[in-house]
Amino acid sequence: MSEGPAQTIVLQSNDNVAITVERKVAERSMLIKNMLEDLAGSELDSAIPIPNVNESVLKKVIEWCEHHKNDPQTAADDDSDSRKKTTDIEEWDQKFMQVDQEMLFEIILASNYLDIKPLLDVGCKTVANMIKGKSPEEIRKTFNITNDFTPEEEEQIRRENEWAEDR
Amino acid sequence: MPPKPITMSNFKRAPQATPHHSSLLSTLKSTTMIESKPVLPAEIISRILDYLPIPDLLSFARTSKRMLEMVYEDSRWVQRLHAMGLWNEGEARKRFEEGMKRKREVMRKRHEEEAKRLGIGVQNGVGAQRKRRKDKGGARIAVPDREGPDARSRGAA
Repeated sequence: MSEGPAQTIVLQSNDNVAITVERKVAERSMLIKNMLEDLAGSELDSAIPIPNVNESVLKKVIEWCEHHKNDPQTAADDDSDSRKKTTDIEEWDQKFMQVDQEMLFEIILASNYLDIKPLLDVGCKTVANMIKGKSPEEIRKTFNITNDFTPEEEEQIRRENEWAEDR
Repeated sequence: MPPKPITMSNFKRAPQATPHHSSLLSTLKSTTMIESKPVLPAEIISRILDYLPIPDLLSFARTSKRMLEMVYEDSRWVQRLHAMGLWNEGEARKRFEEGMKRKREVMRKRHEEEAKRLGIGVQNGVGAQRKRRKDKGGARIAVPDREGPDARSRGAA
């Protein structure tokens, strides 16, 4: 049966590795989905280059898409809703996100680029959870942020925000 | 062994897995690879901050100037208050307008004062000129210093 669109497509990472994926899986990426729709009809016989993502990250992202290929597409992203909410992450995703920080950031960047919003959300939640409960100094260390405040400024901001301090 | 590009020595984290080629292109490539430690753009940091409870948000603000700026962004707090059901658009607008009115009032007063000061200055100027014109044909009256030399020369004539 050759009717309908091809059931697999080939993605090419920026380090030139071709990865064959089920079309449905790849379409978790809105970028790819829209692109395929634009190409509808014309035969797609070459790999789709994903210039911002290397093989290991792309594979990881595909792994996520694979697992979530049957999730209902939350169309018309209800941003306002999902944003204010909890940082709860389903178990599979939590495990999935147990990677080193560099990979975590790479996944976030890739999901942003590929427009896979649910994955981006999971990534952002994961980072948020890493921040929770940490002191400013600990946050700096974790994320390599350089403190460019003078001690006076630091003290002033601390006082400014005393009202919100955990007690 | 191909010569090691000099630039590499600065980057201790260079992934040594990639074979060294001496071509410029590969040097460039490996250099970008090393430098491209993933950095999250503001847009994504902002997204992350949306998930933070307020105490953590403020701890985050204290890490650096840039982060402070991101956390302190008004729209973030409006959105927060919205989510908490504490944001009252009408009230906010009213207060904003009151604030603007006060500001305008202050500005207006300042302008008035300025104008008064300038206005006096202008009037002075005009008055002085008129005075001078009057002076032309008639007796000299003691006038500001500036006219001193003029007066003296006229007196000498």
